[in-house]
Amino acid sequence: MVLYENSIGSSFDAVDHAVTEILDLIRNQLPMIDPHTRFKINFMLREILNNAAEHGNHLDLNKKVAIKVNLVHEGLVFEVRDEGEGFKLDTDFHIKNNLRERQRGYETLSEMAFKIVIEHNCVRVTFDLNMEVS
Amino acid sequence: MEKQINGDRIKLTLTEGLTANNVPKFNESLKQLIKPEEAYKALILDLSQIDNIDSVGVTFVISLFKQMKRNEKAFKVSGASDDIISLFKLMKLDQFFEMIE
Repeated sequence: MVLYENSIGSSFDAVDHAVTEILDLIRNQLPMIDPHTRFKINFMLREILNNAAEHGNHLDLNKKVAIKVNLVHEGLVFEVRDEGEGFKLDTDFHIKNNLRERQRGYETLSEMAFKIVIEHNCVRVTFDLNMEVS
Repeated sequence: MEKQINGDRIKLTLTEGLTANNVPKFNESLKQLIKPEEAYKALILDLSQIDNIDSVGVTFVISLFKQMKRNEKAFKVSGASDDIISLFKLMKLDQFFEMIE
């Protein structure tokens, strides 16, 4: 079941607006998801949408970021697609500098136990409703 | 962003989400609110009014901490929610600055 589907402009304000809409939907339609988990979903959504708008579409307002949130048997699947050339997730998180100012978002999502799959210019994040993210 | 002076401490209270769309405004406010010649010993960043945060917002906090360290000022975060404290701990930022109520 599609919970949310939209296409937004490539700006941080558009991302903020979309995240607010999605979180409101989750709060109203999925009351079993507690506020702490909603906080993590909020952080995760902002991360993947900001990345799509900034690094995928270079904040070009003529380019769109497509968002789809599906409610499936296992949980929630968040799919974000930009118009960029795609990227590979560097899973080598061993270079630890906790004060570095960039590129820590996906590492944090991984540590929150979100399952992230990247295919070309599409990022798919699964949240298992049966398993609380840490 | 609101500024309060208490003795030799400056408290900055964020009144909008610590998110990518607001960070440019925060950087601009910082320049207006804290002049280089201003004398103070500690900066407290008050997050008690915010729920939303993203990694651009976290970067803002880190760069503020680094700026204070360079200028030999103390830096603390106050009033953060349990969720934001957990996030900062997950990112191991609690080893660099104190988080107070």
